[in-house]
Amino acid sequence: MRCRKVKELLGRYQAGECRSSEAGEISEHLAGCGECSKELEDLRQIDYLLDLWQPDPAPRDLLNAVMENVALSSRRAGHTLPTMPEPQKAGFPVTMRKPYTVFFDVVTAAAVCLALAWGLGPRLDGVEMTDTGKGVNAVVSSYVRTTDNVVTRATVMADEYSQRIFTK
Amino acid sequence: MVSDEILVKRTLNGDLGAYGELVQRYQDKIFGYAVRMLAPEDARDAAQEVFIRVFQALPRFDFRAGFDTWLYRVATNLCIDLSRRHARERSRKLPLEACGVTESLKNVRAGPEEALLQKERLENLRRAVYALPEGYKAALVLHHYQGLSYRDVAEVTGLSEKTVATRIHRAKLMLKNELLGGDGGALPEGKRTARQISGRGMPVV
Repeated sequence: MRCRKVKELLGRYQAGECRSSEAGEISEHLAGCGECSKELEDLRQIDYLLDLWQPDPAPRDLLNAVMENVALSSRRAGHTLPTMPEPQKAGFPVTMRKPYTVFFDVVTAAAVCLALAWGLGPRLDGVEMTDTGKGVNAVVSSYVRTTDNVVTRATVMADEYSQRIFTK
Repeated sequence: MVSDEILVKRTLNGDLGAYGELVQRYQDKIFGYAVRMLAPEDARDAAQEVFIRVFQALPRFDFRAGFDTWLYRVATNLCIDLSRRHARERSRKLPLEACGVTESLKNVRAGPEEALLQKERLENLRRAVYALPEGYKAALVLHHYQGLSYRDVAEVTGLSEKTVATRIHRAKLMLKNELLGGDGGALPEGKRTARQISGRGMPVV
């Protein structure tokens, strides 16, 4: 590597921001070049001098002054605090599904159960058929109970919302 | 620790306390940056102005760059602007105590002679740093004092990494010329001013 290139990269080399291949070449060059070594030494001295200047921390009242201004600015008309878009604008909470989708789920579940019973029915004997039927029945019952609770809660909430709207 | 970006989002949702946390997190850095970029008596007001401008521009923060990069970009623009405005208005010859370096002097474990020498060195250094062209000074201060890598300085200033490296190197050679003697680093007349940083996704400040 030539002196010109080395001097160009010397700052990066000193800051440890050179590629390792370049750093190797520069080190090799520095070992045999007095002029470039002298420049590196000068840069180190400058860094040492720069390090002497360590200012005091920010004044104690800076935070309060900033926050007072910020609060004032956010209250001022036309400079209200920006808001992020609302996650959901529907009347029902995010965690709760709308009643008609629950109804479709119940119908779908019932249809799947019937299809399974009809499809597997001829291949199973009487006892197996009874056990399978009981199993399906238990699953459907628990599903219906859960969805029923959800629908009830949704209806109650919808009722509350509409009361609030009408009383306003 | 909560990330800067989360605090920005909370601020955008109306939580002023979250912005207070951001200010607390960066106030020393931004004040330190302003002290080295401007006449010391302007540093406090400049730091305050940086945080207010950033708050007002927060809805336009696009989360592509880090919050600290964006903060330094606003600070750099403001400091360069103020530095230019005040350059002709006042002399740089201020007492050292006004420069926010008293704390570092207290830490010098040396006799009175060494302390005096140190004080003189600091005064010369401060004057030499202030005398650097704004763009060179910003690159040097961001890298050396604020601890930004060449890549981060490039991101803040909107320059290429190569230009940043050249500016930092030349700034040091100019300081060397001023403080240790020599002829390196002097700039041609036309290059002694720096352009304003064009902000990618940053509001004009």
